[in-house]
Amino acid sequence: MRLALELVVPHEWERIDLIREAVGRCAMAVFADEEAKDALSMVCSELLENAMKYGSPGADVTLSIGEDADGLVVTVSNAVDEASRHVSELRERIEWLRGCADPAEAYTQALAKIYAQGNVDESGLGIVRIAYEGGCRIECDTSQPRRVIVHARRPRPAAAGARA
Amino acid sequence: MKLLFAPIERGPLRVFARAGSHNVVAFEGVLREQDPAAWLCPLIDTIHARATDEHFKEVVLDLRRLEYANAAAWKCIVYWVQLLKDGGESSYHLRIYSDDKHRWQHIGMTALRVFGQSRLEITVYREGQLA
Repeated sequence: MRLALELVVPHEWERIDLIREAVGRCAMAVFADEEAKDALSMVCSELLENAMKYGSPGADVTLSIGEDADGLVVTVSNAVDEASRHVSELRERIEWLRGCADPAEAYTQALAKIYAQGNVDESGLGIVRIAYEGGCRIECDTSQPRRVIVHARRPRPAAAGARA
Repeated sequence: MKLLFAPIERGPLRVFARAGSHNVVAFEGVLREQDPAAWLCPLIDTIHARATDEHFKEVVLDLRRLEYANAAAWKCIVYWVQLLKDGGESSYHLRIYSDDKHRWQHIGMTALRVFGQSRLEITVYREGQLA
């Protein structure tokens, strides 16, 4: 059994938690793995939150979960306004994350920034959480105009066996 | 006994001061709002002021029945830890009850310990029992 989902999500914050729960159930059904369930549901939730917070108001957001040769891939795609600073900040955050020795260190640094500067609005903690807590490698595709596509990849749970 | 604050219900989240205690703040459900700081940081300020003015030795933040919190909510917990740092020598200790069955708590608390120093205690439960 393999996990393959694609959802077009209206730009409505209340939908996110329903999707978080649904993804968790699907992951549990396919992998029977609590860690994968928690990780995938959290990753989807945080990516959808970012898409709705910083994406074009009213525009749908696409969420897909699939598998490739490297493991599981969660992809969120959303439109952004021309003037949005989000794209460059997201790219910078992901680059910074890549430069960190390990995700735990990055997470501690992100918390340290909040601790030092107060409740900063755009701390990027969600993205760092995806890397640390979700065990994901994050990539960002901004090659299309006014669109951001974020991929979060993590290994397939070992107990889930080979792809069917 | 005067309650720390009146109970709060926000969709799937319930926040309340535990009856019969003067210093226990409990969260239950799911905390995943877009801007939790808008109401949670003022609530933390209120509790912090009361605990400081009345010389509480400890405030307990019981998260064991909080199934999930988003990154924005985590920032509010960091904000509370930051208040402890700024509270001077007379400040109280913050004790967090977490449950390892919620993986997000297990992982997040590990990082949070770095900042709390001597003012933050984390008591870990596993499936309702002290770990």
